[in-house]
Amino acid sequence: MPRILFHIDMDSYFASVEQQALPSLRGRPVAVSGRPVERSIVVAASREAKRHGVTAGMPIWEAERLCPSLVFVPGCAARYISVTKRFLSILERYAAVIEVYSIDEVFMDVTQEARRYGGPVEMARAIQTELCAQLGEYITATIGIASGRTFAKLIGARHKPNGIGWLRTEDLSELLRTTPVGEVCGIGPRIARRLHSVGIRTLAELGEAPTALLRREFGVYGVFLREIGQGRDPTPVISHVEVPPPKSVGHSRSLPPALRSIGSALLVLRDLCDTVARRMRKLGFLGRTVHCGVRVGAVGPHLAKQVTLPAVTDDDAVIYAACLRVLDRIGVRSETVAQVGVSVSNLVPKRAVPCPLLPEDRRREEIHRAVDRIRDRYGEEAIRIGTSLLYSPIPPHVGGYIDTASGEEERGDGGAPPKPRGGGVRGRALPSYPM
Amino acid sequence: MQTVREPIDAFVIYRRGAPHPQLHAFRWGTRRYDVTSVNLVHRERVGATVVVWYAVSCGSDHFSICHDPARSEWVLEAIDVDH
Repeated sequence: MPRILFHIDMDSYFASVEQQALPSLRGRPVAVSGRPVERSIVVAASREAKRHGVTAGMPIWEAERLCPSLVFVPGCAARYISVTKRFLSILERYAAVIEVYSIDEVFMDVTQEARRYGGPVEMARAIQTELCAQLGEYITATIGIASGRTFAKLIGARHKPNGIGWLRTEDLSELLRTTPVGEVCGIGPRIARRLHSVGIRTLAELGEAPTALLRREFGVYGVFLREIGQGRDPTPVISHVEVPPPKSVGHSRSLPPALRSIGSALLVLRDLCDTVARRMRKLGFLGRTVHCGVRVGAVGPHLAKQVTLPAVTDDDAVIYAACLRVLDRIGVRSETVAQVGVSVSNLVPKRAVPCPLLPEDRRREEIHRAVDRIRDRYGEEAIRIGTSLLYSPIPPHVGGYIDTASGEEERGDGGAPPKPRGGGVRGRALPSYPM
Repeated sequence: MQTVREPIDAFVIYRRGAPHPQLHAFRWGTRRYDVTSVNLVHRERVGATVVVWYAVSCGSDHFSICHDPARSEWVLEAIDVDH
């Protein structure tokens, strides 16, 4: 029996949630963004804004030029995460195997369950109706139905918004013949260009291409692409309750112009190390390889390297010291830094690592445990490392900066202005590099 | 939305099995506002506390209200003055 997979994609998700929360935004072109200043970008556009050509990732100034009546709304991460949780709890009543693909997209394997609803289309309609009833009339979803994930996503994208697309087996060959390779999820502009250069423009042509050619051009991925071209996508739907352990834990930040000196960037990096270490401790992992990267200049190259430590750690100070060694090797000294990032990989579960023997290590662990207890009880901002007080207050236009990107529910904007962060100790000497 | 952040008296129903209390009306200052529609409810974790945000309409006025169950507090966070 062929599989029946659903790809459920919320339509203009963040913007729809804002329109649902605030009726005066309904029917108007809305862009969810940071604060509306020149350097910010559109995070999500409502369907009314999309009609004017406004898309996610577009700079604010360009969006305003395309749609002068565009209403800018600051994003609220906690609100979107909360709605996603409700949306998942609804879907869990329909099928056992649900894979969370992103905050607004899931795959469901409904091969067993579809029959109970009278067929996949009827089941999809029931889901749409319930989502609408539970979440609100403005939060709608498009559902693509096919036997493979790639095709469910592809057919769903053609029925947006609030539609249902079903790719029947008999329609597959026509779809393969007419679909350009670049339309498929997993084939980006660069792969599409390389496929075009060898004369492959449609999925059918991809399916007929010699395996040796695709393997030579794309390695193992070429074999997968050929399967897609032949209408096969055996990739399983992995249930979100069986998520494999993380391979790495990382964070990065784009810096506002005021924080683009190397000294300020290091302060932000110190904070990022703290956030990464905190997440590792929450997840119960220690890591050995520290990867640190910076983007030099506004549009400059992204420079990154990694170091492997002699022992695993979840200590922010150790991770930061490793980052400084990496930056020293990269040779970043006085340039403008537009982005900093850190990630720790080579993870092992904490329970598999013996307790520290040295008194100093034990003391550090006790400090971390105490800090974690305070944060668990009073929130992430309740206690912070001292260097975070050395930055000037985050400029008010940097929307979303206060929210961490940890994927946890944390205090966001929520209709209220963000709490001021740091003491704003202006004029104090920033630490020189390298520390 | 215009930030207000003032405590209010809330008239709610705690329905059996409901995930959060149902907000029917609130008193801000001396005036009572009857909720005509609850547009969106979302939860937010702040440390060990989970607060509930209500986006509600009272006729053509829209309000953002925060409920902290641990402190039994209801706060009018913001009102929509954009229309």
